[in-house]
Order: sequence, then structure tokens, then C-alpha cells
Amino acid sequence: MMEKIDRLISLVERAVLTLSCVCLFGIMIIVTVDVILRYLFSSPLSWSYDLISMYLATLLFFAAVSDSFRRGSHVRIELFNKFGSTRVRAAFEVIGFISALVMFYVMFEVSLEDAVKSLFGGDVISGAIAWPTWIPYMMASCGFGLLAIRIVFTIAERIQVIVTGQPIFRSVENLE
Amino acid sequence: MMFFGTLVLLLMLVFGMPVAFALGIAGMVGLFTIGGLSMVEGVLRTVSLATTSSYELLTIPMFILMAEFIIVSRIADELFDCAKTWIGRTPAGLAISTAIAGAGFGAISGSSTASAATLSATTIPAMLRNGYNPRFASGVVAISGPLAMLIPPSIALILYGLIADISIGKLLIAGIIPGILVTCVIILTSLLLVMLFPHFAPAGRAYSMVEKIQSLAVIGPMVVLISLVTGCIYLGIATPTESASLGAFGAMCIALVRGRLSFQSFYTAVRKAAATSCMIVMIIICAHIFSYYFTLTGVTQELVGVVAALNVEAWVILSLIILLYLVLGCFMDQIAILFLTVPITLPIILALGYDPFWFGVVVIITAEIGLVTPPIGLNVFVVSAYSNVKVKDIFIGVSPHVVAHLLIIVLLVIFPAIVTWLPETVR
Repeated sequence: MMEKIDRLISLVERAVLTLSCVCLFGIMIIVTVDVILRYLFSSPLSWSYDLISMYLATLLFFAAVSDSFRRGSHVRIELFNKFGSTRVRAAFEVIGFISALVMFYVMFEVSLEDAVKSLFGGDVISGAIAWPTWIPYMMASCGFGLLAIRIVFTIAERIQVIVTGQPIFRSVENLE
Repeated sequence: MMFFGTLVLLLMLVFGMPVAFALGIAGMVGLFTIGGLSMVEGVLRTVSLATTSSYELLTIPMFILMAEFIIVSRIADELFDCAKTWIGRTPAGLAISTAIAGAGFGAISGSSTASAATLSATTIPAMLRNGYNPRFASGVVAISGPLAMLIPPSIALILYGLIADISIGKLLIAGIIPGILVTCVIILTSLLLVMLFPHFAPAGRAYSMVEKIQSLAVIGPMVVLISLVTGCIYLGIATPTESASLGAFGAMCIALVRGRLSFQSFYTAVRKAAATSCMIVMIIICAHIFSYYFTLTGVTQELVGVVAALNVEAWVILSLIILLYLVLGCFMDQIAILFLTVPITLPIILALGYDPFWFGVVVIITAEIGLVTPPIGLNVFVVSAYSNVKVKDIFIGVSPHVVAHLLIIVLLVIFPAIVTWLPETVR
């Protein structure tokens, strides 16, 4: 059951990670073209700054946030991870992840609120192109929402460790 | 108030939480104790998008992407081969070639771990085949990897610049002379060791002039990349973000031209860059949450006041701060050290009258030392994994270089102009 849920969440994470990759590549291409046009033709892309800073950079980060947590890409101080039994370490992690869940849930909720408010208020930025402002809020909300789901699953995994005393070894196939 | 949030931070770090989560949770709890739920909501509402929409922040993913493409292109292997062809026949020639390849790789990639891994895979087998002492060989590789942290483009320096809120462009330029200095010191230390223990590094084979000239083919793409990145920043042609994007694009083209870029390697490079960038941005977001709390407690100003009231010379406090970084470097990840300490130490350093660019370079050199000192010494483990040389032997082999690096820090403290002169000439 846990494995099926993990696969399902991982599937969504991998799909949105692809969006993150597209954004990263897109930023590189747009900025390069912008610099070339500016110096060779004195005609930079007027829309590139807003598109990149409002949408592409935001999606680059929020589309990868849950997947990077799943892969354990985040920096930790592993000095104390040899101390205590598997159960004790899992219990400490549960406390930490519940606190993290509260934080990311609040971030999900406030981003969603802002997205809805901005959408129905018809908010756009002033400039040559009236970019809608609800989209980045929605990206943040989706990213934090998916991360919160991943953290809930991780807490469930750790509770399973506390109950069984067996550490979890996630298979490489699931990571890739 | 301040004590409570810091206690939560320490507990979370001990619990094994990711540094980002620990900073965010501690900041959230601290803000709650000061202003209740409304303050927490207010900060969490603004901090994430305010961070991710920063255009300057994009320098990090672009430089990481550039490093990934450089790894795919395997240019570092040929850099070593080129240096080996010219100076490999001299005693310690291969060790010197390793330091030069490390500096060259550092000039086109900002990741020290990637540099250490790449150098280990190529240079250690070559040195061992030539009868080099394994401790000596692996020590040179372990200390040459972190050069990427200092020579632009350096991701660590960019992170310091973002935390310190100073010009990223000038900061990257500030790393050039110290980077060259560190490279020279690695070479001199290797030569000194070989003078004392000639059996450590026998002379290699000689190469013909034709072979030497042919080996220079790798220099062309390198010059293009260095010009694109460091040249554009120094001459003010492009911003650091633009230079980074041009560098990533250039690195991709090099990998493509060299026939090393398949769809799979391309996707892996982009995916790794996205994941690493995300990890760093998450730390930045959460560090902002914690810094809101820290600012509200006023602890930094109090600390600066306390230090100012101390009746001791500035250099004593500076020495203590540097010592703190050296000790932390033995136990903690360098990114974590930057985010956890710079917001506290930098105001003290500024109050003492030191230059923020200079301090950034000094902090990065202490971080370099942290990468090769026990018990954590990440680069030593990377070199060991790639070369099968025992971790203990690498720690022993790298120890003379650690002493030499400590002398470099003393030199930079005595002559800060080594760091501050070049950024002052930036357009």
C-alpha cells in the first residue's frame, strides 16, 4: 500500500520536475538570446525580464521542490545520525517533519489565498505586457502543496519505522 | 526570545532535519513567540515569491548548469592531459598538472565536489601508474578540488554575496588573485614535499613538441568560456546572471561539439542542476524566515555592541571568528555554515572595519580547509570513493596543504589588498 502511494506521488513529482528542467533550459536560452540581440542588434527582448523573474524562475524552483526532498538532496548535519536506535531517530524525525508540515501547509494556504484573490481581482503588473500575477502564487501553492503531501507520506514512513523497528531502504528505481 | 528560536534551530539540526527546514521551523516558532500567528502568516506569505523572483539569484542555477555541462564534456580530463604533456616529466610534474587542472576546472565550474570527483577519476590513476606515493597523490587532488570554490564562477562566493547583500560581480572578481595564489601555494607545497621526499613523485616521461602543441587544443574552448564568464563580468559587458547564462550555453555548445551530449546526458545535467538549485533556494527562503526573526530580536546589534565594548584588539576578534569557521568546517557542510553564521559574523566584521569582499574570500578559504579536514571532510570522501585510496591516507596526505592554506589566511589578514585591489578596478 505504502509503495503504491509512493509511486503515485513520485510520478507526479517526476512530471513536474520535467517542467522545472524546461524552465531552467528556457531561462538559459532566453537570457543568451537577449544578450546577443542587445549587443549585435541593439534590440533586447523587452519581455524577457518579467517572464523570467515572474514565471520561469518561480516554476523552476517550485516544480522541483518536492522531488529534491524525495531524493534527499537537502543539506543536513549528519554528525548525530549515528546516535540512538533506529526507532529513536525516527521519532525525532517525526517531530521535525510535523513542524515542517505545519510551515509548508501555511505557505501552501497563504499562496493559494493570494492566487485566488489575485485571479478574481484581475491583478496584472503594469508595463508593456500585462502579466497576470495569480500564476506565480498558484505555482508556489502547488509546489508547497505537493511538498506537504510528500512530508505527510514521509511521516507515515517514519511511524512505520517506529512500529516495526526496521529502517526503510527506498529502491533506486523509485528514486530514478 | 532569541534563546528560544536558537534552541529550536539547534534541536532541529540535531534531529537530522535538512538545514533549510531547521532554519524555517526555528524562524516560524521564533516569530510566533514574538508576534503570534498573524506575524508568521505575514512573513510566510511574502518570503517565498520575494526570494524566487530575484533575478540575481538565477546566477546560481545557471552556474550549476554550466558545471553539469562541463562534466558531460569531460574537458577536465584533457586539461590534465595538456598540463601533463608540458610539465609531466619534471619531479612532481603530475601533481603540479593536477593543481593546474583544478584551477582550470575551477575557472569553468563552480562546484568543488564535482571538481574533486573529476580530478580523482583522471589524475590519481595517472599518478599511481607513475609510481607516486598514494598519500601524496590523493592529498594534492583533495586540495585542488576546492579551488573551484574560490576561482570564479564560484557558487559559494555567490551565496556569500547574496547573504551579505554585496555586488556579486565584484565578489567573483575578488576571488581571482587569491585563487591564483592558492594554486601557486599548492604547487609550491608539492615541490617542497618532493624536495624533502624525492620518492614521493618520480619524474614522468617526456613528450615531443608536436605532442605538446597538439595538447593545446583543449585551451581554445576554455578561453572562450572564461572570457564569456569572468571577462564579461569584469568588463561590465554583462551582469553576473547574464554571464552565467552565456557560460551555461557555451558549456552546452562545447559538450555538443565534442560529441558528448546525448539526450540522456543532457536531461541528467539539467535535472541535477534544477535539483541542486532548488535545494539552495529552499535554504535561502528559510534563512530569510529565520533572519526576519533574528532581526526582530535585535540580537545582531546587541552582539556588535558587546564586541565593540570589549577591550581587545580587532585582530583578536578576527582570529577567533576565523578559528570558529575552521572548527565549524570540520563538522558542517559549507553551505550550512554560510547561512548559519554570516548573518551574525559579517556585522561584527564590518563594525571592526574590515572589508566584506575580503571577509568573503577568507571565509571561502576556511571552507576549503573544512572540505579536507576530519571528521567530515567531504572532498576527502569523494576522492576516496573515486580512487580507492583509504580516507585516513588522504587526510594524512592533505595535511601539509592544510598548513599551507592556514599560512595563506595569515597572509590575507596581513595584506588584505591581495583581495580588495582587483574588484576596485572593475568597471
